[in-house]
Amino acid sequence: MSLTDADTYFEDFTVGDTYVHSRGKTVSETEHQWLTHLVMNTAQVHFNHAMVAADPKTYIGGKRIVYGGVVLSIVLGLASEDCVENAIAEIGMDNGKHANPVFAGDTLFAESDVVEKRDALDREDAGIVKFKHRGKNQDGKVVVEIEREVLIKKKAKWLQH
Amino acid sequence: MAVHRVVRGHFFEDFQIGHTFKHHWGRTINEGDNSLFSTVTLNYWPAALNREYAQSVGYAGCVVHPLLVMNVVFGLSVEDLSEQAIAHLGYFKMKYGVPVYPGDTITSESAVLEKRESESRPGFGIVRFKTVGRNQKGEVVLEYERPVLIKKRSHYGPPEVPRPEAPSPEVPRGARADCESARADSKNAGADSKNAVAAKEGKS
Repeated sequence: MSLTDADTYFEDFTVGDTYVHSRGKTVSETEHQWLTHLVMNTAQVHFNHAMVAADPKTYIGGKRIVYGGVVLSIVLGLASEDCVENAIAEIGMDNGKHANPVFAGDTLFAESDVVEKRDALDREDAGIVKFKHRGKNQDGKVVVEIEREVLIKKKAKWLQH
Repeated sequence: MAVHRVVRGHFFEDFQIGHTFKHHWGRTINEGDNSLFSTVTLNYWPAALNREYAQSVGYAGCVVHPLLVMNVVFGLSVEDLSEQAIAHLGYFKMKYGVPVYPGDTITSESAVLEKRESESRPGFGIVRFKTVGRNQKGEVVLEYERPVLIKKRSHYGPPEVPRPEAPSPEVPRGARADCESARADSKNAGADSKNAVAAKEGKS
């Protein structure tokens, strides 16, 4: 086994294909709050239970919502081995939407569509793949979706021996 | 002795199109941050976690995972932009710049692009921001836009705090200059809150 799989190079992605990533990830109370604090996000809606519990009309169900950056990062993490293990660099993201809230105890799953492929303008050893990622919860509800462009190694250059 | 209860964050009414913020703190991202974030979020991208592999694809060493860069740039912006928000709605036009390495220091700044009342939720409005993250050399590491659903001061502001005069936009839309004056505006708003609360409590 080499460090990265041989089937996630630029050539291996077909526009129109969908990957249903097999792992799920339950978001624990501790880790979502620690990740929020790790990046110094000061919005109390993620970590002040007394505040949200006192006003369930404003704060959905009176529960602490998981910070969207954590939801997005875990969903892309679930997708990462199938999609971007052979990535050289991230280009960018667009049209990202948090469609439904995530709370501690929810389990996240990910799916990815291959939307577009093109050669990189400035190098021959890699190409750009555009994915549309979807994160879903345990009820199958979409919680986040986003388009993402990544520079991925080409087999022709990188798998030569 | 005064008692201060400083309410952090800005409400919907406080934002004006063109208003810019240079966010507080800054953050030197270290190796531990990078390893912790990448592993806990299952982003086992070897360029972030395997130095030899990172070098084999052209990096000087392990790179900070781009999603951590995004979250740090975002996190630094929260007090100014979205501490009084109840929902972060999305991410648009996100572009990465130069790679970030452990030891680099990230700062964040933002401009207000648009604002409108929420149609479905009275008491809230939607503000769209553009945020730019830079390293210690001033090079752009990331930029993106994000719309946020934010509480209105009229519905959620501390009742004893008079609504501050809306600052006039001092920079054209999309421009990034005069961050300090925006910062000063926000500091003054904070001072107003402090004084008002102290006055009400008869402690000033």
